[in-house]
Amino acid sequence: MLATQAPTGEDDDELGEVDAVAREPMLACAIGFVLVGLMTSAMFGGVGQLPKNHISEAQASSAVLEHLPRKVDKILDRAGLLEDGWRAARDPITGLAMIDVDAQTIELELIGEDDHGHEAVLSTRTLGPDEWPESMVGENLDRLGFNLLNDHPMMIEVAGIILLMAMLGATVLARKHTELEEALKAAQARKLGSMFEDDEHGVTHASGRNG
Amino acid sequence: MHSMQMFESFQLAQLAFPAEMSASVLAPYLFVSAAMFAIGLIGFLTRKNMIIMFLCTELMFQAAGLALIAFGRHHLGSDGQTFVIFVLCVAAAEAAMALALVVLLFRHRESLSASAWKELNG
Repeated sequence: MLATQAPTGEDDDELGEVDAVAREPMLACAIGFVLVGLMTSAMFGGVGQLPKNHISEAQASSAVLEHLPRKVDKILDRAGLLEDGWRAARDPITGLAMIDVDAQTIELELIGEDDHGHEAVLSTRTLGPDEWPESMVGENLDRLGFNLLNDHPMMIEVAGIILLMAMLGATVLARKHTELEEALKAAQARKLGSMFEDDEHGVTHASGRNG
Repeated sequence: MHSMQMFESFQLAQLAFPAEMSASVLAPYLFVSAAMFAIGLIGFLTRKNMIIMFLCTELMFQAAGLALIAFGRHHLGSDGQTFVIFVLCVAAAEAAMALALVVLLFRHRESLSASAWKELNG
């Protein structure tokens, strides 16, 4: 309200003009920054009250890793735990990664070609808790992705329709209305038409030269 | 199978955060959300400039989104965040429409003041 004069009785109509000019822009900026700082520090103040031995959110959502075998592969590879040809074992029926977050064990499998040249599992082994990489955590984003695409796919469709309607609506509302007389319109159309014809001639000439 | 797994992870997460702990962590978020909403509401009611009023509605939008995310985190589900993504999408659509309306109204009256449209009073 720094930028607004308090309305005094009958000068209500002038309020619009007064409202357009800030009275104390620098002070308003400073107060705004202080306010944002206070609110942000207030917001994150509660996080410090979490118990120290709590399971982090990332660990809590690690169960989602089962559905992301390629992510498990990537994390293992980055941690240098995968030799050539090895990968996290997939359940043959569901295709889920065979990873146990609670026990911190991961099944690995060696992929190669069998006698007939088909892809096959040649050997398996288990990665124990002592080798469990620190970075093996599911993120909030993973969980959010599953939630959005698995549980609420309809929302994406609705959002798309809403955005399309808003785009069309905004274009229709904000377009410039030009008033033209009928004769002027006809002249404009004739001018455009003759330009189009000229263009066509130009194209035929050009193609004739090329041929 | 998948929903079963999700349920298990949900329970695991619930065990990790006792409810009484979450309430004290939740409170500051709701406080900030309420403060943002109040600032937005006061701005909307006291200002006459249509663009500022529109910005204040956006502030109220985001305050509601913050509360949604905080409650979603409190209950350790992802539905709150998913809904906020949807709300952001609606806010984008609303911003486009509102700005188009502001442009339209400005063309008619050459003024951004809301009092230029007094005859729209009910």
